[in-house]
Amino acid sequence: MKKAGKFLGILFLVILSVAYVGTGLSRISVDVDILRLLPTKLKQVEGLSLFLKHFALPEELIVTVDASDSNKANAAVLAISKALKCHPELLKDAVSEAPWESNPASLSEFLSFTLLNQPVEKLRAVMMNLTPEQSEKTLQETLETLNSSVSPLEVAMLSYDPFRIFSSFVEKSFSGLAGSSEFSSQDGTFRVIYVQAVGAFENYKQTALWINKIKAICAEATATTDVRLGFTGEPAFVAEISTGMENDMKTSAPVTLGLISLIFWICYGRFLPLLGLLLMLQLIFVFTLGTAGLVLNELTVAGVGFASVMIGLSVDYGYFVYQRSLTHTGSTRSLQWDCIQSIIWTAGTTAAAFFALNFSSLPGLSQLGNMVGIGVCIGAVIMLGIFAPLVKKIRKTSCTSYSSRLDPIISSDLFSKIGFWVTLSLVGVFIGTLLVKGLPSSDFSSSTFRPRNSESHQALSQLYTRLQDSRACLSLIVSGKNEEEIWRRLKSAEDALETAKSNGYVTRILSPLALWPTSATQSSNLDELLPLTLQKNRLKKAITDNGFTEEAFALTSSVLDQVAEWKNSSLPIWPSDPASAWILRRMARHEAPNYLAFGVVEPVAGYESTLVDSIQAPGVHLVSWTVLGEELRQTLPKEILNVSAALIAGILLILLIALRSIRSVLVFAVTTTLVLVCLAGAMSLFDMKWGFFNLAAVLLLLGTGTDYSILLLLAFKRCGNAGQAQKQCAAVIFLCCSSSIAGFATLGWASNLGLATLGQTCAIGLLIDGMISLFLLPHACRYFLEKRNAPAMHFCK
Amino acid sequence: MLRPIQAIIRFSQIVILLMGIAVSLRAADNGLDLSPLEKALKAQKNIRSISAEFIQTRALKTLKSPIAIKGRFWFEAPNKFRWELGVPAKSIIIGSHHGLTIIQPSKKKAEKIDLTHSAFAKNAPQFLRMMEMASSFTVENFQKEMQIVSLKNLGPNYRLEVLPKNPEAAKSLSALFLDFDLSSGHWIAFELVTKEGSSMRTEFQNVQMNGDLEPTIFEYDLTGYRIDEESR
Repeated sequence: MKKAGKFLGILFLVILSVAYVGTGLSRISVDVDILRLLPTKLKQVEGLSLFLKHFALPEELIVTVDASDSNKANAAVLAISKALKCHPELLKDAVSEAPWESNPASLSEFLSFTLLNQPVEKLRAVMMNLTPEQSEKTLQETLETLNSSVSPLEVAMLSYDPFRIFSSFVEKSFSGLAGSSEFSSQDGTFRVIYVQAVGAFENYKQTALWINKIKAICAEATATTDVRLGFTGEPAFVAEISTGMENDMKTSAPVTLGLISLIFWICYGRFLPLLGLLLMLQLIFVFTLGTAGLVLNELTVAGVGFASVMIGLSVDYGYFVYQRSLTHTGSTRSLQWDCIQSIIWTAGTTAAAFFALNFSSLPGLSQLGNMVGIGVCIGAVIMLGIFAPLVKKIRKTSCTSYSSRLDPIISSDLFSKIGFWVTLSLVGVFIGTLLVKGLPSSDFSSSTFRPRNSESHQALSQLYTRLQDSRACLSLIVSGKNEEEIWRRLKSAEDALETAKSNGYVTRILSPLALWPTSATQSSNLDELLPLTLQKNRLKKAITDNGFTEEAFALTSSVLDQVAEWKNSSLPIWPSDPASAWILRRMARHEAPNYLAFGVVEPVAGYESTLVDSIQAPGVHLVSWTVLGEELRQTLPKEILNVSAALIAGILLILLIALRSIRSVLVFAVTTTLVLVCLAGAMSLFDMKWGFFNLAAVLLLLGTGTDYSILLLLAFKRCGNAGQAQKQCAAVIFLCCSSSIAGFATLGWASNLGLATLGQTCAIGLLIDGMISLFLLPHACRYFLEKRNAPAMHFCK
Repeated sequence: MLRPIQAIIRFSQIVILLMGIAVSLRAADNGLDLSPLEKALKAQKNIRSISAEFIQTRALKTLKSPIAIKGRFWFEAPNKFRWELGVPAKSIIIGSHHGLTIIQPSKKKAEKIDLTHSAFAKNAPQFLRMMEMASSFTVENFQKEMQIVSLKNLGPNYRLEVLPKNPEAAKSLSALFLDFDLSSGHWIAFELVTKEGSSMRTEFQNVQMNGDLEPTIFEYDLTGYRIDEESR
C-alpha cells in the first residue's frame, strides 16, 4: 500500500513535470533578429528595427550573376529568369530589369502620381506652360532645347514632354531611382535578379528550404555556362544566420556533453553516476527552457544559446555532490546537508548575479541573466534533490569505495607547486602584455553579429562593389500615424538635412518627400489638373502645329487620362500598377497602422554622428549599422561597467554574509580583479577585440568563475587551513573548470562570430579564473587569512 | 542629378571614343576585312591635336522634321577636349582626365564634375578607360568597349558600324556609325541611332590635325556663373 502510494506520487510528479515543461516549451518563439538583444531606447536600434521590419524585403532574394563577359552574363540571366518563371508555386516574380525598361508607357501612372504630389504652387507654375497664351512659346523653347542640349536624357525626356510638365520635377523625384542601375554593372558582366517569393515565410526553416530550391533551379539553369552565382538579401541572411546558430547549438551541446562525460570518465571511471549526471543535465536544460517559456516574454536565438551556459554551471554542482559523496559515510539527508551550504552560496551568488542583469537596459543581457539565473536555481535543486539521492543509492549498491583517479595527482604538493609557478608566470605574461600593448581594442560593428563565413554577405559586398556602394550612406526612416504626419516630418527632416548640407555635413540627399502624397495637396492638384483633361484636343493641336508629331503627345495624353480616372478616388491616392509597386517597395509603406517613408543620405565622412544628432526628431530616424556600432561603443562599456559593479557588489554582500570576514571578501575581490586584468591582458596578447558578446562574457565570468574562489574560500572557512582547502577543492575546481572550458571552447568554433568570441573569451577567462583560484588563492589565504581564522579541523575531516 | 550627368559623360565618351576609333582600329571583329581602316590609321598616327567644326542634325521621332545646329570641337592629347554646340555656343563641355565642366552661357550656369572622386571613378569606368584609350590607341582597348558590326565602302569614304559592349550604353542604341576618309584618314561624321527610332548625326568640317592649340581653349572664365559642384 505504501509502495503503491509512493509510485502514484512519483507518477503524479512526473505528469506534472511533463505538463509544466510542455506548456513552457510550447510558448517559446525564437526570434533571430539580433537587434532584439540591443537596448530599444537607442535611436539607432529603433530606426534599424523599423528598417528591418518594413523595408528589408524578407521575401525578396537577390541572385547575383558574375561572368567574364556581358554576353555570358546576359545569357545566364535569361536562362535563370526563364527557369524560375516555370515555378509559380515558389515565386511571384523574378525581375532582371526595371519594369519600365521593356515598357516605358508603364511609368505613366507613377508619373501622374508624382505630378499629383507636387507643391500646389509648383504645379500652377507648370500649368502656366499649357495655357492657350503660353503653350506655343513653351513648345518653341522645347524645340530650342532639343536642338542645343548636350544631355541625351534631357533630349529624350523633352521630346516626349514638350510642355515641360514633368521635366521640372522629375529630376529631383527620380534622382533616387537613377544613378547606377540596380540590375547591372556598367560593363554588364555583373547582373542581378530579384526573386520575390510567393508569400511570407512562416519561419527560418521554411526560408532556408525555399532558398535551397531557388539555388538548385539557378544552378541547373547555368550548369553549362561559366558564371558565378551569389545569393543575398534579407531571406538569405535570415536563413544563414538562423541555420548557422541552430547548427552551432546542435553541435556545441552534444560536444559539450561528450567532453563533460570524457572528463568525468577520466576522473572517476564510473558509468552509472555519469549516466545519472547526463540525465540530470538534460532535465535541467528542459526544465529551464520550460520555465523560461512560461516566465519570459520572448527569447532570441542567442538567448537559447545562453541556456547552454547554465548546463556548464549546473554540472559544477553535480561534480561537487558526487565528489562529496565519495568520502561521505552518512545518510542521503546528511550528504544533502553537507553539500547544501556550498551549493546554496555558489548558486545563490551566481543566480543573484545573473538576475541582477535585469537592471541592464540591454534586453540581450536580461535574457542572459534570466536564462542562466533560472537554470542555476533549477540546477541546484535538481542536483541536491535528485542527483544526491541517486549517487547515494549507486554508492550503496557498490561495495567498493571510489575516489577520483586524478585525486592523487591533483592533491599532490608537486601539482600545487607546478600549478603555482605556471599560474604566476601566466599572470606575469598577461599583466606585462597589458602594460606593453595596452587594453584590447573594441569592435562593435555589425560584422560581429554575422556568421564567420557568410556567403550572403560576400554576395552583398560584391553587389556593393560592382553596382553602387551605399555602405557609407545613412538610411532616413520616417514613421507616422498617417500620410500627413509623415509628410510634415519628412519636410522638417529635409529642411534640417539641407541645412546640414550647406554646413558641409552631407554630400547627397535622396528624400522621398517629392513623391509623398497628402490628401490636401492631391485634392488641390486634382482641382488644377481636371480642367486640363478636357483640353486634350487643344493641347494636341498646339503640339502638331509647332513641329512635333502626335507621338510627342502620347505621354501627356496618358497622364491626363490617368488624372481623369482618379477624379472620384478617395484621397490620398497611391498608384497600384507593377511599375509603381516596384519603385515604392523600397520607399514607402502606407498600410495602416504602418506609415513609413525611406530615403538615403550620404554623409561627409566623419560627420555621421553629428548629422544623426542634428536630425533628432520624433518619428525621424537617420541610421546605419556603422553609427549603431559607434553608439554601442559609447553606450555598452558604460552599461556593462555599471552592471558589473552592481553584480560585484551583490556578490560581495552575499559573500560577506557567507564568510563573515571582511578580509576574506577583500581577498575574493582582489582575486576577481586579478582575473579580469589577466583576461584583458590575454585578449590583448591574442589580438582579440571587445564587442557586444565579449562584454557579456565578462558578466558570465563574474557569475561563473567566481564560484571557484567561493568554493575555496568556503572550504578554507571550514578547515582554517589553506593547504587542506586546496586539496579538498582541487578535484572539484579542476572538474568544473575543465568542463566549463570545454563547453565554451566548443562555442569558440561557432559559425556565428559573436558566439565564437563569447566562447573564446569565456574559455580563456575561466582557465585564468580556475588557475588563480586553485593555485594562487590558497597562498593568499595562507598569508592574509590563516592566522586570523580559528582552525576547525573537525569540520574539515 | 546623376542620370543627366552620366548621360553627358556618355556623350563625351562617344566623342573621345570616336577619336580612338579613327586611330586605333587594326583588327577585325566577326572576320571583317578592316584593312581600309588600318590604312587610314597609318595616316593618323601620332595625333597630338584636333580642331574641327561640325553640324549636328537631330532627327527625333517626335519631330516632324530634323533640326540642325553648328558647333566646334578641339582635342589635345592625351585627354583635353572642348565641345561647343551652337554658334555662338549654347552648350560647352570642357574636360580632361580629372573632370568635366558643363557650361550653359545663356543661363550663366555651370556644372563641375570631379572625375577623380573614387565613387565617380567607379561609376564611370568606361569614360576613364576611353580617355586612356585615346592616348594608347590599341585595338585591344577598343574591342573591350565596342563590337564592330560592319565596314562598308561608300565611294571615297568608309562607314564603320559599331555597338557599345556596355549594356547600359547599348540599351537605347541600335547603331553607331563612323564615316572616315580613306586617303587622309580623317573622320568625317558619326551618327547615333536609337532603338526608339531617333538619330543624331554629326558631320565634321575643316578638320585640322596636330595644329597648335591655345591653352585658353581648354579654360573658361566662370566669373558670375552659378556653379554646381558634382563629385559623383
